[in-house]
Amino acid sequence: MELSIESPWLQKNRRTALERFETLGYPTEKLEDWRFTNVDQIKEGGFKPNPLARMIAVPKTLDAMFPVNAFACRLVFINGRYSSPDSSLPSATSPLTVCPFSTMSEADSRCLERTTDISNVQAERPFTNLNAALFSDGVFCRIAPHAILQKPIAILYLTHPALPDLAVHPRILIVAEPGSQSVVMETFWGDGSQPYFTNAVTEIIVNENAFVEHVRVQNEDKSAFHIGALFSTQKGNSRFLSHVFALGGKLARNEIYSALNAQGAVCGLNGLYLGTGRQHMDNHTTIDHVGAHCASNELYKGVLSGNARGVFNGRIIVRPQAQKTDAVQRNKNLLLSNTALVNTKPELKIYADDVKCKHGATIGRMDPDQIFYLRSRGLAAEDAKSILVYAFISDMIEKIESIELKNLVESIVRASYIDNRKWQ
Amino acid sequence: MAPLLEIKNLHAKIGDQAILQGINLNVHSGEVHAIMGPNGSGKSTLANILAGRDGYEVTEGEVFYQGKNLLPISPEDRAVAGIFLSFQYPVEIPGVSNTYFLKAAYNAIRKRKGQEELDAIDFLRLIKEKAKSVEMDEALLSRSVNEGFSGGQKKRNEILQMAVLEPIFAILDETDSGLDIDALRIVSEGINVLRSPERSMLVITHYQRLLDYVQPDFVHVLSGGRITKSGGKELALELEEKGYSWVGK
Repeated sequence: MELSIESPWLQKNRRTALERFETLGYPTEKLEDWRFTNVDQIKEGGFKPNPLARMIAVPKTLDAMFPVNAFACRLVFINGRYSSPDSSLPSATSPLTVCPFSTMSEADSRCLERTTDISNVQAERPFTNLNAALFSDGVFCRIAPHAILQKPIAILYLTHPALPDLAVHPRILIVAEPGSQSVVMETFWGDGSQPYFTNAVTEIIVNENAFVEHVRVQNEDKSAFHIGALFSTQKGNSRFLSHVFALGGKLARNEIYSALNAQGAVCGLNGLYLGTGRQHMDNHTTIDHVGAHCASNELYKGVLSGNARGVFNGRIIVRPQAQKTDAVQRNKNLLLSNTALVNTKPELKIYADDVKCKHGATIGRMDPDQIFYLRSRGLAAEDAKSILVYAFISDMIEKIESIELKNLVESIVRASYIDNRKWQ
Repeated sequence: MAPLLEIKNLHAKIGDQAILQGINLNVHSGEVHAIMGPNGSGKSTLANILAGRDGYEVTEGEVFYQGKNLLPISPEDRAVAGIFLSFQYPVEIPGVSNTYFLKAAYNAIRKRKGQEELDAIDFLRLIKEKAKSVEMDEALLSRSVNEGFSGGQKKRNEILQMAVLEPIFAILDETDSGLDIDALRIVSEGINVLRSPERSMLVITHYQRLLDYVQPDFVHVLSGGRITKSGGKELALELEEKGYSWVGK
């Protein structure tokens, strides 16, 4: 499959990214950023893109979760390829421009130049380079100035390969023009398939006075590997709200780099990681306070059972000129077994002197008094625990401001984690 | 008629410390028994053992409820069988709404009894009616269970749960503690409304004042892990006057 966007500049960018990846190599645990996460299985898995990977039907339950009329548009990618019959695009008169890279005109594709020619922050990340070198298809979204989207944008990556070594490198670019308001949901879905590797990169540019709410649900197959990176860049008085729900994958890593580049920008990073069995759930976030008078609020929560392992590393950088920064970071963990483990690490690098920065981390277990209280009212022990697990995580769902997505995420979390007692 | 609850020579300890040292007590249907005693006499231990809380070791004796050996039964099965404990310190459960919690409990019990579960609308009607009977602000129904409730609101919430679950045998553990006089009156009225020939109560209290409102059929004095004196409601008044030292250890 030949992309229409394989112009000379893109080919050059791909080559540069590949060279950088080859120089960097797969990360090892000797690197501070990868201390707790070993990616040897990805390295040795021989995962590679396959333009011939077969298309499959979207499962009915998944299809029903994303009814076409409830969303501004719905883009479906199956085994890494854009599926036109399963997708619906906004009308030509809509203030929203959405198109898969593979159907972009040469002129439109120029906007990719700036995202594929990646910044220094991205250049130092091996998997982001790998994505830049190998991405085959993706989404470009642009919300016109001052447009207020009434419905969310849905992007769905369904991966269910017949062969065991498929790599998918999704790439999403969202440009929110000044004063626009939009909600975007990315969903990664896989179930009962061969091992595969998703290596996603999303870039969001939030211009002056714009607002973007971004929800990512990672519900990959239990044998899959997932690296999902998000880079957000904010201009003055903009607001960005990110919610990450990590449910799936054998080894999954969520990376966020959020830059508050100009005065008055505000971001909220919310994350929930639910690890069971032998799942490894890593979260590495960086909030870069560049502009003055910016605020960031971060809350990540984890529930880990069985032999699952969670990692939270939250870096906050306050640059010398970023006076009056207000940053709050919290990480809370609930361990449901004696063999579950979490490594939590705040990393504050503050170079300005007039700032407020707070951080805190907690690791706890279920409260036996609460369990007894519920049981004494007639709830079976497992139901009581189920209620308490949901109580711990429910505020992360409540933080979603879009009512439609809040309800959708609640139903996904309930079905994939609570009701089937996966947390046990 | 056989007693609803029969406690025979019950001994229990926490860790190495003996708390109950031979309790004997029979409660028949419809009776209200008050258990009074100084701090540390074993009142709450008795309440917790009857409700099935972990952490106590019964070393001797037996408890029968409806003729069945109670001690091996799980707390939830006891609730299904009609046992209810009003907690001395009701537990806060952030993230779980009061209504959701009570509906889950109510329907869990109904389901276990083979009865039809109540839907959300019917349950809301029921809980609002019961909340009115204990003069509880409806706003508290949608808040998280006991989170940020005042002492009085927590105790009222316990009585609300009792009113909804309609137990056969209710244990009220220091329900009067921490209540001002108005809250005490309201909670007591809530208890009195639930008195019936089919419902027995074990009212555990340190002070006599609750018994001014909830008049017991029998009063027992618990001291040093044993019942040292039993009598009618006049015993409570006598205790109030003479103090616990009067009944001895």
